[in-house]
Amino acid sequence: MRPISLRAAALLGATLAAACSTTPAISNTNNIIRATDVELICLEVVGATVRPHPTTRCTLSDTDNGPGGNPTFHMHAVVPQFDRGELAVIDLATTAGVALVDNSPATPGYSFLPVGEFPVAIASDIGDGTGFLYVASGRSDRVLRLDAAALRSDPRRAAFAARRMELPVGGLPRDLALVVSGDRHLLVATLPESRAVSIVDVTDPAAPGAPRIITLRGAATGGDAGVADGGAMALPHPVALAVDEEGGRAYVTDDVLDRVHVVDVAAGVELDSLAVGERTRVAVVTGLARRRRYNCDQALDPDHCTRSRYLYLTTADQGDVIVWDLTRGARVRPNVLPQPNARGSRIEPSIAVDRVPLLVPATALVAINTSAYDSMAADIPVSPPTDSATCTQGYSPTLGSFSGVFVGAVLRSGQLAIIDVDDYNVDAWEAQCQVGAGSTLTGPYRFVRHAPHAKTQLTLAPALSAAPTTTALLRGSARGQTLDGVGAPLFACGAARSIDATPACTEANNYGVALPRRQIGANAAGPVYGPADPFTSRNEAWAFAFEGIIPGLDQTGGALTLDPSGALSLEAPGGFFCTRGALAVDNVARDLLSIVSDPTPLAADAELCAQTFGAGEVPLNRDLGIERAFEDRLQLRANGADFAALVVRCYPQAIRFQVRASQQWIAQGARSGFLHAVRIGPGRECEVDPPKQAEVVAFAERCLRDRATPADQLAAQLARVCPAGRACTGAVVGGMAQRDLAPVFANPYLCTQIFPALLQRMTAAGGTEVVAAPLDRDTQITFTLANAWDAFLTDVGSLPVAARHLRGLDRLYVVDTAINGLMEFRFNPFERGRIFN
Amino acid sequence: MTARPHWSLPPRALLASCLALGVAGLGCPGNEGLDPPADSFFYPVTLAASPSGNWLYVTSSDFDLRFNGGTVAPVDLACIRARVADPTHARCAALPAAPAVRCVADRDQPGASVCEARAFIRTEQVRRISAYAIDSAVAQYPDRTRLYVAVRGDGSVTWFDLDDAGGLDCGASGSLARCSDDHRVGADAAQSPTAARLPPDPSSISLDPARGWVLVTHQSSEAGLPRASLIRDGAVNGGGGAPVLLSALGNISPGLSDAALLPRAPGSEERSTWVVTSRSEASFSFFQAYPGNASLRDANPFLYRSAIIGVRGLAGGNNNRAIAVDPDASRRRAFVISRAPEALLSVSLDPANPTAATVIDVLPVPLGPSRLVVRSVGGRTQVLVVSFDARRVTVIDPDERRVIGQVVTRRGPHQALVDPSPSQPFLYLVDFLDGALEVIDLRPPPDPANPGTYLRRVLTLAPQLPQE
Repeated sequence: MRPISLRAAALLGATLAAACSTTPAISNTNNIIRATDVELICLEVVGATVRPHPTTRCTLSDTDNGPGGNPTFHMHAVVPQFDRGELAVIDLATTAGVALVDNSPATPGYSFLPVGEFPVAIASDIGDGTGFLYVASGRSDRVLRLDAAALRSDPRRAAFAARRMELPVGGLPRDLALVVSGDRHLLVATLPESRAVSIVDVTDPAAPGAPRIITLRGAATGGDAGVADGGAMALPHPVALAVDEEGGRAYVTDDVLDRVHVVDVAAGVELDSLAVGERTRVAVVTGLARRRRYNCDQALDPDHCTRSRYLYLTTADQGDVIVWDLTRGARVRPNVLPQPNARGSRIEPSIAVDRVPLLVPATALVAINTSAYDSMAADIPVSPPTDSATCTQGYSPTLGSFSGVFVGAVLRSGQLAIIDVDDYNVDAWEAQCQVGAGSTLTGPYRFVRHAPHAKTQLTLAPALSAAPTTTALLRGSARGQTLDGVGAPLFACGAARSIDATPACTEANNYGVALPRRQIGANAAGPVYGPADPFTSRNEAWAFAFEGIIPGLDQTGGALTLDPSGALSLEAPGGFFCTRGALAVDNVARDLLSIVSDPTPLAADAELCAQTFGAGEVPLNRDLGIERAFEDRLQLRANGADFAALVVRCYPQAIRFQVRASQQWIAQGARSGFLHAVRIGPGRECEVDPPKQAEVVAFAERCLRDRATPADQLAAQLARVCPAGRACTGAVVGGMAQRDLAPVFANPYLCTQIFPALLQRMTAAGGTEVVAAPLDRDTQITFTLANAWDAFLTDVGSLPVAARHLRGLDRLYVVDTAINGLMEFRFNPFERGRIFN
Repeated sequence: MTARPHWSLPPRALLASCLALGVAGLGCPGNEGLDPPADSFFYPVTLAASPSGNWLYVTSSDFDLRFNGGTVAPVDLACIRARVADPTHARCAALPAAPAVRCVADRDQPGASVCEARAFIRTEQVRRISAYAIDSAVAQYPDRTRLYVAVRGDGSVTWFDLDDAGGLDCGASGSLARCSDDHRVGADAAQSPTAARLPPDPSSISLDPARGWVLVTHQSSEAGLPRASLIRDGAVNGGGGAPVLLSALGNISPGLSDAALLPRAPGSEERSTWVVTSRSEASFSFFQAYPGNASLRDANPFLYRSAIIGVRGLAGGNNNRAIAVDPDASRRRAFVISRAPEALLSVSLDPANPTAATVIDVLPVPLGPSRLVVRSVGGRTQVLVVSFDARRVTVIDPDERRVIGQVVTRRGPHQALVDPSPSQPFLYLVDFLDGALEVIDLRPPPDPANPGTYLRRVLTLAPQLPQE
């Protein structure tokens, strides 16, 4: 036989490789409607014989998703369908065709297993060769038990009925869990409307026990735990379960009481309750088992280096994620950077310190222990799998892979966030590698636990993505005309600006925008900087608009009125002027009202009104200073009583108006918005919010100190800080704009100062002088921050409601109740896999 | 003899022409078109109940333009209840001229009946309106009760004076009489003090009877078109004044879908505030009716948008439909039907600070949700969501976050209404495709283990009986 040529061999090899590595074609038939949950079951399928096994027996091939080691062991997903009252069974080891199991092939279309109205929860109890599924129905006080071996059988056959049994649980169940305690198998159900938890001993499949109802303890309405003597009681309302494998405990969330019930499942008693301080809805237990070997003693919080277990919870009100440390019995402050990260500042300034910094409500949580995880039951210390890593200069953490302990948070926005609990890859981050390439991980511990996983590399210093652009408005609406040279206001890049010399704004000086950073090393080119607090910077676009409109205060509606004293006011109950940041305080900020509408007077006044206020693109006299700002009205400064009366005559109906900063810049971030510091004061009058403004001054001080501002100048410069969210232009003194005299603008993410445009003009004495050029309204300076921490998020459908992870499988399954059905994700690298529908 | 004009036709040609014209005249029907049926419903879209609870007003839309208009038909509610209570009930007492009740068993719903609608309709009071009615509402004033119907076909809000005998007065008398121009607000700019006409594509009506306001939203997405209108009914002051279109508001969110009147905020009692959904923008708009200010010489009442907030934290959020406020005012929340995602949204609403409104809960609902009804049962709030595509009504306890049950409906469930009488917990549902009115039993059974007809259709009023 002629030997195969090299080219042919290559071609054949490539063909085979392509055939083997191609993602299998799984057809979607849109059969899953309103799925509520998912359970993963390992089934051994040999012909018509089906036997359940523990999930550890089933694997999935990484290349073709087919069965791994043993081709007869198939992982299955079981998905309750709410509206239909059915279980859909999906063979995850199917490599082609339709993965849905058609339980009644004789019936056209795909048929599933009927389980009763409104299945809301599912749990399983699988041994080697036998096992059961338990399905809670929203309209029955019985839980359906289904023989797992019947998952692929035809429900119309007589034999199917013998494989199902209804177990009374004593009330309408909401959530289910199976707890193995010694040799006992206990089914736990929450019964919200009975204010109880039900425990059924299912150890003997032939004779399940009667439900043991544990009525949960209420709480005094004052919030104290336990029963109040003679006081009013708030009744519990249990919702969801999280099972701690170690202690046979079930943690029961409560969306009426601000506590979590702790139930000893084996003993059948409520042990205690955790005063988590929030009404809660969803829970998972997770934790870490290993001891880190770098400088844990430098961590203020020793918990960051030792073995811990955590209870992750969502709050019933807002869907926030909070964390309870089960080891130490206390709430964690996950939105605060621990030491040695500087200053203990918040990761996400808009979120309270006791929340995981997620910006969207979470609807489901899932504990994720990847295959690299060592069991919590193991003795400590254990050897972390990736501790052998050594530092390399410029090491990039594996951003797209997950190894370690995490919590998946399914968000109402249709996304999934992965929260770091113990990210094994973090060892190689720059904080531990300051000594340089080849060193061991000996630096201070800087990893932030309980924060959403970073999407971006955290070793780069925050920076501006490009030079800021200064533009003006053309013809009142179209933005254009880029300004530069002496005619453009700009950020202060140097010590001073004169008519002859404008300091260069370059990438090296971040174009005049100071961003928190610190030196993390050095190389031949000079110092190497990294972020000061990696998690506290934010990528977003910023716009500084001169005399800009206060966001939300371009409104249609509001009536101009005269009070009995003849004072002119704008009455707008929907204005929310203080809430939105309007201010009229001497020497701080005095905003102005700009009337956009053309006059609509009676015919007799039409000509006078048109002459006074103009029309169309030629408005006149439309700016009115604000004398006093209130939450629902503005008291205006009118030029005399006659003018005030004329205003009212010319504008007898609702007007469109804008509230603008006067001679100040409004700074607005694309994500942060307008970070003002105005509050509603006495009499609902707008006033500066002292704590917020103090925070701004503190940011400004940090900025000035970073710039090595002499201590004796600090106080004077801090006194010039504009009200939060507003920036003020520096003045011209002695023919120059000096940075030391320019007010500092600061917020959690950046600080800067603004040099005015300069103008040379004739003086009365015949000489010349340099003054600040007047600025056109709506002149805008825009720039974008880059290299900041960004949360890892991935789309998981339009209304995801549940997620399930199996350790060892390194795959995550997310249920989208709206469109996608069941979605599969892989961890290494993280990518979306198949969609089963 | 007089000479014939030179252009005149010869007698034979004239005769032929006349004959041809006559034939043509016979061959072409008049422009009046086909009259709609007075004794049944056709593409019914909306219904409203009289304050006394004796009558139901079902508006048919003539959606396929088969007839020369839609209708508003008074339906004897007492007779419906009597039929549900007694399957042998054979004649509606308030309708002596109506035929006897004829029913057959509902083949799709054991124990339920399908009856001819004609036995329940006061046909001589059925009035004709233009095609494409979209929504309706009833207001009770000091000395009269009025029904308003938003009609896309003629760009009007057609209004009726009601009596408690099922009478409908819209300026015309007789069965299928067409409502007069005087009863069609917004169709004629001359009727408005601001020379306004009702903008196109009205989508909902919401009333504040205490102030006489009628708010109409419009779902147009076209730039430049007004999208909210304010009508004031002079009947609020007694004496039988007529409704007048005061203002139409533009430069606001597109695709406005539905509106709900909010409880009055402290300190702002004189103003009425509505929250309005949009089907093409992720926002909730707040509109206020400004009653005018006595200190101004020419202070006309007007409508303005007092606030707008984004619907955030959802995958979509830009296609919202029906909205209703929780009857328990202390909860300060509203319920919204969302199509993207298909869900029931709970929204916190503080009338004193609408900008703080946030979506606080999201519950999935069956496909194609469009309408909802909110009611209080024993002090607990219950939400009933109508899903057109799924043909279901889902009954939800929003506080338990639990689906209490689902009612399988006929082909085209649309607007629903709970019986205004507390002792008669029935849900009335117009079926757009089948031209039917469904009656669903909301009476909880004494024994939960034996639900009986609870959350089931018990009666259907159909155009004709299904063939046996």
